[in-house]
Amino acid sequence: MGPYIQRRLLLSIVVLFGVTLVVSALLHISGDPVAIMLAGGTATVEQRDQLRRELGFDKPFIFQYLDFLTGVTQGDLGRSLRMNRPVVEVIFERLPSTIWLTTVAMAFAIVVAVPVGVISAARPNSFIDYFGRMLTLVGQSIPLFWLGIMLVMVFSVRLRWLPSAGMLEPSSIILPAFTLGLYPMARIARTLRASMFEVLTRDYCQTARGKGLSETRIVVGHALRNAVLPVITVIGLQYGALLGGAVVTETIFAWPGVGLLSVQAIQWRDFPLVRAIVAVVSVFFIVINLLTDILYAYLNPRIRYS
Amino acid sequence: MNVVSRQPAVAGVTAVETVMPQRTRPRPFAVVLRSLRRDRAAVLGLILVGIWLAMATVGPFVVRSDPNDQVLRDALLPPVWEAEGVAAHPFGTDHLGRDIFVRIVHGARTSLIIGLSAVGLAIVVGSLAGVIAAQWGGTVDEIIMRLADIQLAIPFILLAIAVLALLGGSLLNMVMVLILAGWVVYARVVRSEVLHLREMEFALAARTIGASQMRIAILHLLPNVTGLVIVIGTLELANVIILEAALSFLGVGVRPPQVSWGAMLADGRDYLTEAWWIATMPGATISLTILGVNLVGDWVRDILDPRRRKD
Repeated sequence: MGPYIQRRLLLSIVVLFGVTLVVSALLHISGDPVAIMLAGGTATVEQRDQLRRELGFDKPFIFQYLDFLTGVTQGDLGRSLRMNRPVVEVIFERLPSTIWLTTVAMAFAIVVAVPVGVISAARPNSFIDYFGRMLTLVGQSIPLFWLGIMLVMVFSVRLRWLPSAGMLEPSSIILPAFTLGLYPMARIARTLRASMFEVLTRDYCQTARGKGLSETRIVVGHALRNAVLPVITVIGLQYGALLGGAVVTETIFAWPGVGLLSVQAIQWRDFPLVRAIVAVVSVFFIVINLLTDILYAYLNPRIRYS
Repeated sequence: MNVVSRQPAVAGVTAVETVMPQRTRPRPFAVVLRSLRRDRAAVLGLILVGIWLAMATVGPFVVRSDPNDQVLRDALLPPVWEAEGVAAHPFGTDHLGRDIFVRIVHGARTSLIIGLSAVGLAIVVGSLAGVIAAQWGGTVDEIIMRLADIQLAIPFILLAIAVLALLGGSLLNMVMVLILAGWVVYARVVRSEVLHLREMEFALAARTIGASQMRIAILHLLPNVTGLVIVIGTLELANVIILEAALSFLGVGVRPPQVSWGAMLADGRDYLTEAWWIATMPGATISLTILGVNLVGDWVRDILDPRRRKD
């Protein structure tokens, strides 16, 4: 395990270099940030040049990138052009809302998907099984931006039960979390059902049946423990994917998280802010994937990474 | 090429091939028919996908009205089954008096063009990258796979919004962004399959008679990966259609006069209180199309992957 984790961490650092380099390059070729910042203003050429020098945009691209890397080692990811504050501050202000949203969404997905997946496999063709299959199909087919809008229309506009935007009330989380959680719910239920099916036909489950154990004990005590392994991978991958889904969900519900911030930053052409958001989100993504793999190896002694 | 078979492409080389007479293999057409008779979900999927394809290909020739025609006098008309609906606008009209049905039909073409070209090109780029990584190995392999890791670590939707906001949301840019997002899956799958297949007897045999690495890869190994790639491609098509709609919804997608279902949805967002149909109709269309593609994808997987075939 040790060498495996070391290698993965090293690779992650390489990947982070790549990510920031790609994003910096993309933003660099997209145009002059100073011209965009001062668009329509009355700044003279001299003032523009001065601003460019102050922000370091007059240097060649590779030096700008090196400046960024030097900053990173000191915990400085740059200053937001729009808000004139350190981007780290801006991002960490918004991060808790996004983590809250994605965690509630994932918790909701797991709480529904696990019983549905288990019962579907234990009682094929039962009502729960049909419900589970419908859930999987619908959950994987409804784009979350449409789901969000329909929920707002029904529960906020028509019924007036829940707020449609923002996070002022505790109930504000319900609609965005459901919107974001439906897809992972479908994926988890589907994976768990398939994996339970396979496990239930294994010899040790037959043996347990032969011993006269109740079906419930076989399903929960013997099968679920083994069937849950592939589900952990799916949960890890889906949690990472939720960070992407949060971009759309937060935009629909005006949820003040990093997702909404990123869309705004792109619209403002706030170069340092975009770069920092992508870097921070990528770190999250990589860490979650790494934790998933480690947890998987820990729970499944048959697999040892070399 | 017989995509139903995952047998090695070189006939008569492996033991399995010589023992098993050709005739016992089910014919592709018979397999398709038999599985359709059993699998009603697949039939539903094919119908939904068929409607989508029909709208995208012949739709604009049948429904000839201009999707961008604005008749402000007819703005915000409800669908025909509502009290104030009129037969001339079956799905109602939007805030500019544009016919929603006509726009949905024309929007199908956008999703089809973007979906097929993005998935097709991502398959080509990804498979090539995968073959090259597997066959060359060493540094080349390391570089391609690290590129794939970088790609997977960037939250794609952010990258896409950034690129499209900066370069503009044309059809071409959209397809390029989606290829950028899609190639990794195929590269990884093809690489690992090729690494596995090249050690099999038929590949060793080809090497023994002096075939070059690339010749083995393209003539002998790739055909055996085709089924798998097609399955992934079908399921990826659903993702690509959703992404196109999502990006257009966020306002960085294709621009007018090109009609996109996602952009129609975004229009409807501002009229949820007085005109529910503007957002509901295109949204339902996207969902049904995705449902169809997913069902067809599951079905194709069941047919092409003999390990999952029940008979």
